[in-house]
Amino acid sequence: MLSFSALGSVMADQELAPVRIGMTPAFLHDQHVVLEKWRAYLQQRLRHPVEFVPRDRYRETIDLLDQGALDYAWICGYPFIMLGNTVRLLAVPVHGGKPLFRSYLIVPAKDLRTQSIADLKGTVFAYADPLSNTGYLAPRYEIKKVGADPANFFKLTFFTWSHRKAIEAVASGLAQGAAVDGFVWDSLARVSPQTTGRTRIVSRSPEYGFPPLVAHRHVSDANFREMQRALVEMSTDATGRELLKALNLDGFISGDRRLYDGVAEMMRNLGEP
Amino acid sequence: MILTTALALSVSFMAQAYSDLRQDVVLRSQNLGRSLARSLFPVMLHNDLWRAYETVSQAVEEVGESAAGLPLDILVLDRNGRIFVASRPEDYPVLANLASLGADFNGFTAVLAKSADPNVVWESSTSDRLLVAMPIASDGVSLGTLIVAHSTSAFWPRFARLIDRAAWITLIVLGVLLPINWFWGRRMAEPLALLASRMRVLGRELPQRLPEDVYPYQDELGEQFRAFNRAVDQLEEKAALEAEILRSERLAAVGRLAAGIAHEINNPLGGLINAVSTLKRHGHTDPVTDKTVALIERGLFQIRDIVAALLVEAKLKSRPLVPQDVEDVRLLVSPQLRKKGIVPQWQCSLPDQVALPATLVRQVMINLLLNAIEAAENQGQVLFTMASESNALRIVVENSGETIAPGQISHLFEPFAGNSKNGGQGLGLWITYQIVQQLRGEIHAGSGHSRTRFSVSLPLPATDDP
Repeated sequence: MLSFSALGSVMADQELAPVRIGMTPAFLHDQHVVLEKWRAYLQQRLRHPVEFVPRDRYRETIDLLDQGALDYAWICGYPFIMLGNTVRLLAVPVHGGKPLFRSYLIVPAKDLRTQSIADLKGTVFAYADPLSNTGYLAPRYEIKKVGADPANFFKLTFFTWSHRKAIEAVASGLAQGAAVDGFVWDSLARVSPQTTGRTRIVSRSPEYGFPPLVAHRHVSDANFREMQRALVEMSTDATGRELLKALNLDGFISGDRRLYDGVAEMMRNLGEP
Repeated sequence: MILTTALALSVSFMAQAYSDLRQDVVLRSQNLGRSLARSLFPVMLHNDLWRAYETVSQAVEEVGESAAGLPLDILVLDRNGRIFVASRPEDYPVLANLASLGADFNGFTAVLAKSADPNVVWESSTSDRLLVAMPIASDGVSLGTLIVAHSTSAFWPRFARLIDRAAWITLIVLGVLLPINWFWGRRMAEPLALLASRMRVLGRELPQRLPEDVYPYQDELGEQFRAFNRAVDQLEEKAALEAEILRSERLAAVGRLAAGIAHEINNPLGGLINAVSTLKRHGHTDPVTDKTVALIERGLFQIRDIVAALLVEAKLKSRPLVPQDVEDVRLLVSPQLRKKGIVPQWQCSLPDQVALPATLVRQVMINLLLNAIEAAENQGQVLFTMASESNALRIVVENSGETIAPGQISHLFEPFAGNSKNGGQGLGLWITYQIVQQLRGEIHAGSGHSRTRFSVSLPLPATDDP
């Protein structure tokens, strides 16, 4: 169809290595159909083959970026700070009118007692990913704030490797609590309300910078600007707007590093590298 | 009896089906458990709780989706008997001690601890739990236990479907068998009842034959009915024979009496006839005396003839019958025929000679013909047939006209038994009967539909071979 013929014409021009975009748990990445449509859209806009590289764990994506095996990636604030100048900030998604989001502390819907993370002492707690600020860093920061030791606070903790699965862990009762990316929770509530319906949001964190899209430093300025423009201008055409709707986003902006100062602060506080 | 059999079969089938179902469930659970345990070993080794949860919950989901699957829970215990993960974490929380979750789990963990074989199938006696346990182990290292938990009350819907189907089949079969059974029973019972009622009168009176269609089937029971009918027929023949014998004896007795009387009369009669003969030869010859003596002589001759008729004796020197005798008889009866305007039908085929006493046979022919003519109406029919067969002479005399009543037929051949229309002595048929008996023949009379028929069969003596 259109994307194929576009690809065909592009391939006919030159033998091009595809642009590789890493996808992480920051994205509700079970939505394969949306991802495919987005890939086709970007391919057409860039007139260049595009490939998404989904990975279950931030650690894997970070490793790929370290190796230079990815051109771009959608990661979250914590890995962004960690990667330092390996990457440049490419674009920041806008959701609910702001490039910000919160972390939700959730418990099973039947638990009406828990009011804050302090009430979850000695329970089974689910983390999303050790490199997620909302799914790991933020709750540990909260525990420290109430004067407890994050390492011993819970009876048992485990990683689900995605925010969606952390929500499922709480919904099934496997964990008595989790902290998840609010954006992912909101998106899941649209797609699978029966899952989110079995959880209850206890509290919402302060706002943090939305998980950013980053570019590897080896990406040329010209390509960088073209990619940035493709993302930012998505909200200007019909297909782009449809995709944004499916992604549960308003659009993208070029963004500012300073959005992630809050994350940097938490990291310092917890003594994380 | 059919119902009892059906019930007994159904109950044993149900018990077997339940046992099979349970066995099937246990086997499936063991298979499922073994493959799960294999994939869970590395997961438990890395303490990957979420992966373990995904594994067991997916397995439970797949079982739930399959048509043959019964709902189940999967529990994974660590080495200390605490729950590592379960497909329903709300009821089986992580790190909870299994024994603390219920009295029957307590019993189960005790059994598991004592059992030398880590593969355990345990059914609770207090609740509906059925647990199938196996180790999560590799290379002799055990990391924990996998338990597939069933509730046996979930078997019931499956079981009920089996029972339901079996019940329907049984009902249908019964619905077919019972009417057949009832129909067959009736088919046999009614004829048997009839047979019993008929047999009940045996000894008192002659039983009635059963109708031919009472039991028209060619089986053993049908044989019984046919045998009964044959027996009744034989009894009837016997009764008829007895009656015949009685009649013969009665007639014979009368014959002997008559013979005795005849002899008594003959003696003085002979003397009287001689005396009159002497009187005629040597007596006075005045006309009145002559007439009177002649009258007396005729009277005496008549008495002699009557007496002679009573004493029917086969004369050894009697000549054999010839066709001329038949012509004589025809001539003799023609006046009576003419008087009634009857034209007789005459069929006679005789060889030149028949080895039977001519006078006796003539007597029989005359008696029967005169009776027939007497009984026939004016312008009626009289039929005479005589034929000589290889071993007997057959004579048939038939007439149209008023029939003899059935009550009279049995007394026909008795002396003076005829109705008043028979003029003469009423002895004709009796004499005929005596002659037939003496010649060792048979005589039958039949009357009906305005015909009366007498048939006589006289056996011919065996001829000497030349």
